[in-house]
Amino acid sequence: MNREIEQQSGFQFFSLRQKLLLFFVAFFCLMLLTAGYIALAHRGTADLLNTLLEENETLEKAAEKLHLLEHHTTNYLNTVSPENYELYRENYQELAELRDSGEVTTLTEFNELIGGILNNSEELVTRAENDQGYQQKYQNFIGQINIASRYLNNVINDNNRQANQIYAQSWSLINQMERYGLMMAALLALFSLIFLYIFTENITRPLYKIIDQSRKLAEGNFSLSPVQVETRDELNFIARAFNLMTAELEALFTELQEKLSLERELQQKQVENLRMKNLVKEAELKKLQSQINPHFLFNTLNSISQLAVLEDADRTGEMITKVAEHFRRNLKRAEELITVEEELESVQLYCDILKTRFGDTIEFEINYKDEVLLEEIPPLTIQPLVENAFVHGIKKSGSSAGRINITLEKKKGWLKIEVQDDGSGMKQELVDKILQQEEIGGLSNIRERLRLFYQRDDLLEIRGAAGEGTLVSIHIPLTGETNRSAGEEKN
Amino acid sequence: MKIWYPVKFRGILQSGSRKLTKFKKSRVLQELKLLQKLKVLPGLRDLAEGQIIFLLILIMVIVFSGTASFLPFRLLQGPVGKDSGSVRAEDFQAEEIFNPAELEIFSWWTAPGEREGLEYLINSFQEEYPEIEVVNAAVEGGAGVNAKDVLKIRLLRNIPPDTFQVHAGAELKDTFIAGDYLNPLTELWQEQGWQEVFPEKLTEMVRKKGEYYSLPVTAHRSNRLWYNKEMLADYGLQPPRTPDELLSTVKALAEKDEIPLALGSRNLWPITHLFETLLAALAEPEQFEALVRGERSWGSPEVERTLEIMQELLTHVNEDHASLSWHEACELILQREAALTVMGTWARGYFAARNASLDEDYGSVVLAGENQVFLLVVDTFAMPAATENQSFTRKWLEFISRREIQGKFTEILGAAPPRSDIKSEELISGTREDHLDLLNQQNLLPSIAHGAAAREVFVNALNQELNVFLYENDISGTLEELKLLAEIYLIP
Amino acid sequence: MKFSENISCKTLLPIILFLAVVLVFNYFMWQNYQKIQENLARFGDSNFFAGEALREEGVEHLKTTGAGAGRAGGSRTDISGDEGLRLAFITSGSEAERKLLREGAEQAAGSLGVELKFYHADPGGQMTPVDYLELAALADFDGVLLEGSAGELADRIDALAGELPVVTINSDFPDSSRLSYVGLNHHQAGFQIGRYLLENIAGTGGRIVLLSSRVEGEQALSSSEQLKIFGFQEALAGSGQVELLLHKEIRPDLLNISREINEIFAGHEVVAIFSMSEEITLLLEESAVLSRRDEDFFKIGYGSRASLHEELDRLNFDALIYRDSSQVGSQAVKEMTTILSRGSINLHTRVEMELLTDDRLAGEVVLDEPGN
Repeated sequence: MNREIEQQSGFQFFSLRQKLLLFFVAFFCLMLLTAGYIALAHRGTADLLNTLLEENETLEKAAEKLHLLEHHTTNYLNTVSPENYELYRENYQELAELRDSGEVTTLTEFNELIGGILNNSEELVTRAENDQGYQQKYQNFIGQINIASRYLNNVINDNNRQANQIYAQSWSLINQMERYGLMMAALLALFSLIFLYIFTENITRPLYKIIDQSRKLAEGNFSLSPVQVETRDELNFIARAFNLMTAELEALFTELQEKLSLERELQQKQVENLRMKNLVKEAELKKLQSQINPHFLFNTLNSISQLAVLEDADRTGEMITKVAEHFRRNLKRAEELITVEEELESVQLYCDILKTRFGDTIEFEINYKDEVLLEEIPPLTIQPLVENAFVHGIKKSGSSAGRINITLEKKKGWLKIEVQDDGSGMKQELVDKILQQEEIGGLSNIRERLRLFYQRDDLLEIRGAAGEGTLVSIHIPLTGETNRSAGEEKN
Repeated sequence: MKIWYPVKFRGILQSGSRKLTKFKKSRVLQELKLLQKLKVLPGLRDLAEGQIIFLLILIMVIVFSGTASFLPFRLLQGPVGKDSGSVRAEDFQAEEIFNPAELEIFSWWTAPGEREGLEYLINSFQEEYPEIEVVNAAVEGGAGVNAKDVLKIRLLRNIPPDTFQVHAGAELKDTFIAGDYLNPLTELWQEQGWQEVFPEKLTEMVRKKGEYYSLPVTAHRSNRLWYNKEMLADYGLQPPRTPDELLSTVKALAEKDEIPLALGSRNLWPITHLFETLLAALAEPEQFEALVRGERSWGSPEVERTLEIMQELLTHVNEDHASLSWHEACELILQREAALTVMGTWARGYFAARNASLDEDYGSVVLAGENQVFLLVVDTFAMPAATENQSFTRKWLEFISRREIQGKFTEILGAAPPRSDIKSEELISGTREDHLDLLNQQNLLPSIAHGAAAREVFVNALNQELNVFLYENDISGTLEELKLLAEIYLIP
Repeated sequence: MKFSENISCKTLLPIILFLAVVLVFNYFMWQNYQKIQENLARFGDSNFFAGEALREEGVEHLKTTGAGAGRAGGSRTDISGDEGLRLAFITSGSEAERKLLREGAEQAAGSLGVELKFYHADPGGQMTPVDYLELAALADFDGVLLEGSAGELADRIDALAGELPVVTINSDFPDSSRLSYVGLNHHQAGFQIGRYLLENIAGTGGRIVLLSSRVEGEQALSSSEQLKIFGFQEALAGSGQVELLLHKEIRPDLLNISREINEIFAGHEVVAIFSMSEEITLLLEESAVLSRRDEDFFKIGYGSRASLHEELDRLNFDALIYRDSSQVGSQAVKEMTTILSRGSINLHTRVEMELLTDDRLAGEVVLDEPGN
């Protein structure tokens, strides 16, 4: 499993378990080491004492056996009996064994010493058996045994003194070792604490951070720094996984947001379309409402016109024809673009009508260049403007006299249509209302239709103040036709 | 917490007291009870298992190291050895029993030649006086060093021998007479008429303030050269008779890759012996005497010249001289391993004991300068003041002064007999010459190395200084030291 | 688990620190442990010394020539094997003396490849020098180096003649069958001191007092003291002043010594005092009995380099004689080895005596190196 992780992650994996194991092994080993050293040191002194005791025991045994030897030899010399000889021989053997055992290390001449005495005793025995004189030798022998046993006692005392001295010297060293050991144990404890602290820190800190970030994530805060984990263990994976998850979430969310905005846009468009349709429907409805069998109207008007002509009312007949045309134009489908030329014809018609009604008190002027004629604009764009200018501007002033200027200009892909009247002007309130689509009127309609056609809100401008006339301008973006009329300037 | 205890005991616990009685008062039972108690301790139940184990280990470690440290002191509770009583070893001291009918003769004649001579004397005396038990208290130890120490101590302690060997001259006078250790023998001298018999020079050496203190028995000549006749003949060399001749002969022999000069410096005095022989040959007799009396500076030119010649000679001696005694050096001559050696006439005694004969196996010439000096070494016998057997001593002295005895004795030793009424012609060749020179009394100089010229302490110091010179070859340094020694030891 | 490249500095540092601590700890513990082991290994025969196998002088045979060539002294004429010699070194003097002797002996033994066993007979202890001599014979030693002045020793040495070669140290038994003696030439020393004294006193005719120590139970003075007296007397006799000599034996007892000294001064007009014994010298100094006296007299002391060395600052003597004990020890071992390996006895085994005189004592005293 670890190897997989390693392969996946691309670095050496040092799991928590391994760390903990390593720590425990090290700790244990060190404790063992410390205790081991101290035990060893104490072992050494124990060995010393052991050696001392063994030595002294051997020496004491030897001294004892020497006394026995004296005793047995004397007995044998006195009686020369087999039993005594047995005893003597036994004692001799024991001493010989003791000598040959080589146990004694604090008395280098032990072998020779015992050997010498044994030889002497043997000599005495031989002499006694051969009936030779041994008195002097016997005296010597006794003296020698005495000396030897006193000497062995001396050695025992010396051994004790020596061991004491050595022990005393070692004692301070052992104390030192114990102190070191203690120090080491304290250090070890300290290190362990530090290690444990760091270890748990390394586990809890990332986790807390993850928790914290999760919370933030839940709150929707996606601008988070990734959780950093320096160790190479499972926590690292958790952190990385978490980071990954956060990143993915963030990406996901962004994606979603984009989708949503797209959808909203779509929705808006749909809404607008709907509204356009609504307006159009409205217009149509109006149209319908105002529709009174147009064909009947046209035909009737035409008949009236003809009648007028027959009755020599030419002017009337002409007027009626113009009105019929005006109505015909207004009732046409307003969804398709028409040429400016056509629209201007409508405008001219309307102007003519007005002129007829009000005489020469209203003046119209239309300025344009020929290049604009071929441009296409939505129908009933200019004519209602003029109508509006007349209604709100001139008529309202009460005098029914005024001037309306209509200007068309093509500039940089835009068609600017301006209708200027010198009437009473519109109140700002009204302007605002129109602009905010709260007033349903001709201007609003135009504005709305323009918006639906070109998706722009700013194509209609109304300028003016009360008493100073009104300037309504429409900017219509042009498409494609500009190539032809580029460079041409007419005025 | 579960306490683990061996499986078989679990059965015991469970089955109650019946099974416990089987084990009665075993230690096991006690341990089990302890375990039971542990199980019941309330606090432990609450601790976690791991903590319990840790605690136990800790306790064990502490206890372990604690007991390990206490243990030694409990054990070292004094020696365990048995005291076999205060009976000391028996004294093996032999008691001195002074046998009243005993004559203790103290000497250091233990070398070959000397030993035979002394034995001759004693045996002869014993024959004459069978009732007197003669004890030969000769002490071994080269050149009498040991013997002299023993003698001094005995004299000081007032337990002297009945008679002892002493060199005539300074040794006798400055050490023993001056210390009031001797009985004057003037009476005996007068009785025996010895003043007429011995040469004046000799009697001078045993006389102080008109009193005679000892009897001369030998007159050795110190300044002789002994050589291997064959070797010299082979090389066509004559035996040298003066220091310069000695030098040239030695050099000649050295070129032939032979060991020219044999020296046995083990006991040190042979070096001084060589020195004094050269000095006596190089210095005027008056100069020599002035030197030994401390009246002439030891930095004088003749001393320096002596050292120079010695230095040269010493480069041609046998390498193992430090381990050879004087007679082993003589042996080298006999064995033709070395050509020459300078030694007193006791070498003759050695050669005789080795059955070597003069002019065949060895040759001998006097080594002297322009003046045919005779470096005198006189052995005498004296009588300690505190001796109890004065009559015996007197008998002894009288005995050994007899012509025949003295003649034979000195013959064995190789010395010249001090008595003038022994005919020189009757003596063996070599000795004859010496005897004649002795009676001539011309240019008789006291030997330094053998106690005639100066006291023993001076000779000892001189021996040591010359030994240093042997190894360090520092002439000027040695001269300075000699001057110092003369100042300290030669009381004018 | 490979750690190589991927461990960060932060984890590496404490690990290294920890390892360093562990190593240091280990080192110290191991050092201590080693020291303890060394200490413990010293348990054994502390009186035993074995020289190295190297030998300065080869075991060459003397150029002895046939039987009958004889030697000047020496009753033992065998042994020259290549095996290590086993010698017993018996001492009976002061601790300091013993230490110096031992030092010199071990040095010589080391270069000669000889085994030494040291026996020390405490004056109040269970074993006497005679006992140790007996022991050495029993334990089959090749030779004995003996320092002791008890009278019984001479007899014991004689009894062991032929069995056990003995070389005496510091104190001699010249008429025993000991083979050689290593120490001062006491006769010469006594003479030299006598001469020196005579040069330094005004010749007022007052008494010259010789002090020696006499231990209870001892039959006579040691040979060394007797020879010193002999030499001293000889020196005085040379200038005819021997009647001035007064020899006093004093028990080496701190409580006693003031009384004894006062007695001497009460009965005689003292012009010089020569303390011939080391114990007496030290006692005189300790009790300051001499320095308290009003009379003007010349004081000479005697001792070994061991004991005097520590006291030199406050000694009130006009002159001091000391012998170099470590040289004695070293010479003794060499002498015995030569005797045993070559069968020849050297007599030039006298050790130098050093005389520290007034001017050297007054100023800063620097003892010569041993071997002078």
